[in-house]
Amino acid sequence: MKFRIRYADQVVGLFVILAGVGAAAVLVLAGVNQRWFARDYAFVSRFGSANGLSVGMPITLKGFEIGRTSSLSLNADNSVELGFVVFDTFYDKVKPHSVLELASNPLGLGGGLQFHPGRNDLQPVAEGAFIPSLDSAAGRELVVRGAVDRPAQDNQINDILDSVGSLVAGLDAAVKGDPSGPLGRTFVELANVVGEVQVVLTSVDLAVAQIQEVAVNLTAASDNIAATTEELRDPTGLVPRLLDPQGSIATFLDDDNLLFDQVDSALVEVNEIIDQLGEVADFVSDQTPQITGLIEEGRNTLSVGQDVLEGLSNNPLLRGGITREVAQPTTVQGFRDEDF
Amino acid sequence: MAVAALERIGRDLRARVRKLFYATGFFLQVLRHTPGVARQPHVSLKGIVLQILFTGYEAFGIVALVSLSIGAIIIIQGIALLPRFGQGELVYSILIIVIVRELGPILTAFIITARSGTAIATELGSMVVSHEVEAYVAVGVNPISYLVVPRFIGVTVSVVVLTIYFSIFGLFGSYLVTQLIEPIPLRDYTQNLLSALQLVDIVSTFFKSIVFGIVISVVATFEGFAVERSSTEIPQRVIRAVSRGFVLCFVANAIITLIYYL
Repeated sequence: MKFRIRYADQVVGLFVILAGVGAAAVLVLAGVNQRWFARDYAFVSRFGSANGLSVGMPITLKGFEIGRTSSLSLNADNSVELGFVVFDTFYDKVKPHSVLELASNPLGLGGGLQFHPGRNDLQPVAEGAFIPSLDSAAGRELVVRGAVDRPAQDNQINDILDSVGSLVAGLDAAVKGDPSGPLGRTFVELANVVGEVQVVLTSVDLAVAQIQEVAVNLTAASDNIAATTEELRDPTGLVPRLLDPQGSIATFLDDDNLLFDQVDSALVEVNEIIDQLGEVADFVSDQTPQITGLIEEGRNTLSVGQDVLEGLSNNPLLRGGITREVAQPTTVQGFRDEDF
Repeated sequence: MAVAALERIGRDLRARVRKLFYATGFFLQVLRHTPGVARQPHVSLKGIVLQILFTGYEAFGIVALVSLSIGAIIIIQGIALLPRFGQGELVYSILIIVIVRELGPILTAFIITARSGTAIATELGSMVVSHEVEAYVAVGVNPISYLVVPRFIGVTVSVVVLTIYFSIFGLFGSYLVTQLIEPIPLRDYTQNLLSALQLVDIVSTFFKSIVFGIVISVVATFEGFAVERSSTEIPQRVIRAVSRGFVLCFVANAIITLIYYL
């Protein structure tokens, strides 16, 4: 005989009992989870409209679900009567001067039926008592009197408005020259760069003035050389006078080095001028990478400043954010990277 | 010609109404003799136990496999589809509705009809053909109380028990699949399921499984006794038992679901 036939009673008994235990366990767990065996305290309230209200809607206190709506009906005086229950674990929160508030949000965020307990140490109100809503004058009067423990309303719109406010304040401070914010720091950095550029431009102006002075001297020397050359080309002019025993050469060779000293001192001066010209040229050459780097940094800073201003004008709350820009690396390195 | 057709329609209608009354009478007889089981437990209890063994215990494997598969399919489809609409939490309600409230009882009923409904109809039809039923009557044993009632109770209990197992395996089969796709703690999964499970779901499931068990057993025994004299009638009556069992289970399911939403 097969095992299951021989022990049919035991097998079937176990089979049925296990199913019964499983069903009972599910029932008990579901009951515990859904508070079938817990005591709920019923209360009533009144609202001006049933919009946003529904049976089974959770009632929350500071984010905790403390009860649920149980019934909704329209009274003879056209006010909406709401029946609700509070879980036994939160019954002590239902103090006198408690109110209900149907919080709504135009953006569909948050909201729900909120319970605000009375701000006192009295005993909880009796079951079945009337709890006014903020739709009623009595509820609003309790709030105005400060008898209700009602937290500050912090919804999403207020958060957004706060963000916009802080943004405008930061922009205003930056415009006023306050360097504490990122925009102000950008402006200060831009001003510093402009100042440095002005200093460099002043140095360049000085160098250009010196170059112009040297150029004037060179022009004069060139004119003299041209005149001398013209004299040399004239056979009746300079040469006869030079060859004349009473001429310049004889005088030059027989004047106790007077003329030679004059020529020598003139050549020394020309040599000094040429040295100065070389120094100016070196200075300009040394300053060129710094000038280029400063101009590049200035350009980058202006670009960042432009991005910030564009980001402000295209603020994500108002527009579409900062326009994506393809980075174009410069071929010139900053002067900080230069090997001095 | 037209008169003959009308006569035929009228005759068929009368025959169907007569059969309906006969089946109703049979069902009432079964109900009338069911409490008698308590008075003669030594006769009927063994038959009930063996019927639960054949109908419930031996179908346990296939019911568990089907429920695990369906739970897995539902959770895979739910996890893939529902979060796109921001309704990922609905998967628990869908599991409860589909496995516990709807598919659990009806699929269990189908499995029992296909396995045990056919067996019961065949067995009783063979007993009729071999005049065993007449012998019971001849010695004063009521065939309904001795043959039908143990099968009626055994099949009904089996459907109820297997529906419970179907629900449990379906829900935990989906949990096993969830662990492969998107692991969540057993505590969270169980809590979400228990939050979605309403008392009315459990009551509805029990009520459906009891009704389906009654339908399957009464239809199978009725069709088995409907065999008259030839063994060739047996497969015809078996097919009729299965098809009528399915149809009546569907109709009963629709009516109970309708009552649930009224």
